[in-house]
Amino acid sequence: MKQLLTTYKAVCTLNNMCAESRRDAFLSRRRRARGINDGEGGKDEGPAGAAAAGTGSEDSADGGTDDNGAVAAGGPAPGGGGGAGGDVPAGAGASADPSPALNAIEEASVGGMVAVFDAWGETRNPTEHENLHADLAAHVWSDRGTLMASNAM
Amino acid sequence: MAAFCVIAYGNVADRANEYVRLSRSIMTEATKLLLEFIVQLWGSTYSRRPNQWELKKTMERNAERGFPGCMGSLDCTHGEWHQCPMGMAGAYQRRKGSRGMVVEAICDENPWIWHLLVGSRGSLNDINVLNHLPLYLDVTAGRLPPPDVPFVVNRSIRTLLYYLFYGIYPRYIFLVSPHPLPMTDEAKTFDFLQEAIRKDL
Repeated sequence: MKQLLTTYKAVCTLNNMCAESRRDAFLSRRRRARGINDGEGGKDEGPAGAAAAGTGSEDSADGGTDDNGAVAAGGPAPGGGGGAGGDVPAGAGASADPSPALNAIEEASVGGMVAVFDAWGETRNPTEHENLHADLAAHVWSDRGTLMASNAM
Repeated sequence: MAAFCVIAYGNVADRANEYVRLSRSIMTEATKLLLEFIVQLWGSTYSRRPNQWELKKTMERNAERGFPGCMGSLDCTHGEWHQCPMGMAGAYQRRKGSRGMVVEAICDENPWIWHLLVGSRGSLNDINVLNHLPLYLDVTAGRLPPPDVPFVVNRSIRTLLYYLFYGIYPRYIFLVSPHPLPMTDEAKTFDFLQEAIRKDL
């Protein structure tokens, strides 16, 4: 089971590595690690806070393991870490090419049980769901010519 | 190289014996070490949640495609687990009789996999899998999606981002499904475009 999960996570990682090359304006790891901006898009091109390299955080972005033995990848990287310094095995040669600072999106601070119940109720509100659905349908319908042409290609 | 062939093409471990002169056990161990190395070295970089810039880019692209506020597509698949141990056969037995597990993923247009849940029991249906998805727990606890990312749909401002999906999931506000029985042209157009974007995954 452990080997199976490792395989899935590795395949997911390899898939994302391949997808990275197709992402527009995705700065290479070396450039982001050095904080170099050679004018190829200016400051707006890079992600916020991407200048610093991995700080050696011990935090892992592997999510966690739930009580069913399932493993989730893509979990939060607390502290905006994600640097490979703490996770790199010895001799990996990654110190010369550290990972960029990833700065995962900040999680909203939970204000206690009342806030949790509010959020829980909001996500399960069927009226809001129907309203969002109706708004999206109206939005799509109002711009259907352009959208149908662009998505039909 | 032989370990990469095993991963990429699903070769059996002793197939590379002809040109690398390595035994099956060594190849198996090498493949295992390579997988662990990949996860350890690059897992934190490539298997993670999006940062603000990536989230902004994804939302901009989805807004151009007609779905502002969309963070990606959510889907799950039930795969067969041929070598399921006998001790776990009960929990992982699917309704069709064979053993299997559920893989649930969220990805964007590229497709970059932002979230992956592997190893849920095959006896669970999509709703049960969703209910112990870490992402779902974060959303229902109010930690995600980030509250400071408003978007405009049909001249109304909203803050709770959503995912596109298709299946038996309940009608939660962060999951947008197609119309079950589209009768009007508006509903049919919505379903067509929703499917076009959802099929990123």
